[in-house]
Amino acid sequence: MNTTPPPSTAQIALRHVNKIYPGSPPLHVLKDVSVTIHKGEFVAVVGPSGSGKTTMLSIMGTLDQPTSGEVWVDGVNAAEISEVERSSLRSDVIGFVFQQFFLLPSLTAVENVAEGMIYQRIPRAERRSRAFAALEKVGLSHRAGHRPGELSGGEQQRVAIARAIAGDPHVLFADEPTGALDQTTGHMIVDYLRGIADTGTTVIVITHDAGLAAGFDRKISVLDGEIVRDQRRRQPGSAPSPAPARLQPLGVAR
Amino acid sequence: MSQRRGRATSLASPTDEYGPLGDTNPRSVILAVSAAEPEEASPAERRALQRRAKADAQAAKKEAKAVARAAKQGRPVQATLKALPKASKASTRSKALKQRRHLYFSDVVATATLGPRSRPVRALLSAIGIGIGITALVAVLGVPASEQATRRAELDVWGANVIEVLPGQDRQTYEAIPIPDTAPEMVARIRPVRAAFTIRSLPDGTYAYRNDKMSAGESGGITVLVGEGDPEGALNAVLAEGRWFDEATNDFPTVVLGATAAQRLRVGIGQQVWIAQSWWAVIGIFDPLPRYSRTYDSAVFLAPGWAKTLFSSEEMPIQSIEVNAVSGQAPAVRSVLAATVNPAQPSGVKVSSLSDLAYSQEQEMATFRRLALGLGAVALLVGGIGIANTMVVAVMERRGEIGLRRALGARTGQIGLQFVLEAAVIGLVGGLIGIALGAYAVFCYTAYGSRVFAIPLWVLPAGPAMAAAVGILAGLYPSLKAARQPPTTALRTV
Repeated sequence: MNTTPPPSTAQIALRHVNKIYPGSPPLHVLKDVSVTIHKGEFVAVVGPSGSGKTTMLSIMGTLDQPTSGEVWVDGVNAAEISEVERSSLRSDVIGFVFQQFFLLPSLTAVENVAEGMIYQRIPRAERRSRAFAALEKVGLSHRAGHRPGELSGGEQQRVAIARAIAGDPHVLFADEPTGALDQTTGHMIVDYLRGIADTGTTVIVITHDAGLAAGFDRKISVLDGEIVRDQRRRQPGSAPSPAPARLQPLGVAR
Repeated sequence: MSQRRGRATSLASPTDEYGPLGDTNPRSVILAVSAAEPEEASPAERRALQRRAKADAQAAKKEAKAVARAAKQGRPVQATLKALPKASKASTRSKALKQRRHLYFSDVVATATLGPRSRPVRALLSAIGIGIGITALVAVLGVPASEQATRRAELDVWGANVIEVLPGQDRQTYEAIPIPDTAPEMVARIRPVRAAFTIRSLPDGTYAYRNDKMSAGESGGITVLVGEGDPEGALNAVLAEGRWFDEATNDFPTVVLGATAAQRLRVGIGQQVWIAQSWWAVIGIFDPLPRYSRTYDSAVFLAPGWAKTLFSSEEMPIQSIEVNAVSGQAPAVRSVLAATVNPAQPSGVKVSSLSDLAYSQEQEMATFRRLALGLGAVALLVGGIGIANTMVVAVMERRGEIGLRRALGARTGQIGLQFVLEAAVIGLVGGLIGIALGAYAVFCYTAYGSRVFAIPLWVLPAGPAMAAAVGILAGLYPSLKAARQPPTTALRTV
């Protein structure tokens, strides 16, 4: 494929991405989606369930392949490389936080965080010190020796966040990270994610909770497999509705 | 990476908020979406965007220049593009991606043992299945090995060169053919014979008693025999106390007792026993004899010189001659023994040696071994199915973990390996259990028969290795399933 990479400032760029699940009738989950997410952005992807936002995230995170289109992650077209290379890409530059935490119940918090780095071939001692540092970032260094069963849901999700960031990813995906938590805890989790974005990591969060999405810099709304709205945070004192000034093809930034 | 960080921090400032999202028709704002991008940016953001644009422009300019230069010099454009800083950054990235990074060995072990460590009882139970198979195999190999070692130990002590001469039967009439009285003398003349011991039986009803007041007619399990020659040289019989007959004691009423006989008669050296209506002085007591002549433990040996004065030679026929050949000469001695013992009728002499006995035992053992090997194989198969079952369940239960690991960057091969090795670990544990149980079984067997404990050394590594191999075979299918699980499962699993 003769393609041009997106600008070096782009962390994630989807270009005319389609995802069709075969069947009768075939399920067209993503319809020609193009979007560019820049480095350091703190993005919420919102939409009702079944809108295709999870599929979009799994394609952005290279967990799934588009039926057609380009997926640029960190300057690499993930749709063109092998599964082995995509695995390396995930271990090197991508972090994930899931709704279900997926902590290993037999390991302590710090061991769980360190487990996230084994596929990066980071030496054991360094993994441990980085795991402690990551736990400190989510305010859980005092719970390092506890197993997931001894932690609250919010604490477990914070451990999962620490695991995702300990490997120093360039981009962090979170799939409904607050879905299994109460509202207050959910807001706290979003605060931690914001803190991560503040350190320069691109953070992309899927949520169906509109109230939660309010805290983000950018909000991408997905409906029926299409991006129906892409808003940046309003400036204080600016007009209440976004003013269309310059038209530009969706997401293709060059 | 540090530049990436530095540039990006300016984007975030937590003061502002969105308006409500759902109040407008989504379709109507589509056009506004990406158009809003530069205009809505904060001053800091704008600066960042400008910087980006500038960097992009510079990169593009450089690219164009390089391409132009390449065209002028006739170099391929593609190669030139690769050499550029931006492009080269991308190419080092893709090069780095192509490199397969392997887990540290300690991590391979840690991930493979994670399942068994978090569910030890389940792992142990499925390991026991395979352990029973290995137990059977160890026992099958250990019992004959112990038998052999026991035999060898005895042969080493006294037996490899011992040949026994017994009276034979006439082939037609089945009548016993007595061993001629001249035989002991003749046998002693065979050069490679180191020592010979002739045992004669006595008329029925010749019993030994503690004293003359015991009721007659009861043997008390004691045999009275006449022993002539060198029991120490021929049978390795060791005297616990006293002496064997010498020229002086030979012609007096003296006896030497087997260990059991001495115990039953409750007599010691210097005391007397009542045999054939006369008193006999005890001058020696044997230690328990080696295994194959243990029957003589309950024997009383009369001094041959004195016995001859009481019984005629017809009354005390030769029961057997124990011959000990010079080491390595046993076959040669064997081949001439029959003709030497009874030159007139060599076919009427039965000659046997310990190695004959060993051979027939081995035959019995072989049948037993085949049976037990079959049992062991069946147990291994059942154990393997048990492990496969455990692994299938584990893979289903741990879909989330598998999805997580894929998201963390594990390759399909690494997932597969983790589960194959987990199955191997369960098998290995089973193998170790099997070795321990099998060794214990063999130990009990040998302790019961006072045999020598022996297990072939190669079994110690081979048993667990075999169990691990069965585990790997059993784990192949579940591991393949785990490896093939799509990486998106972590997102979809609820």
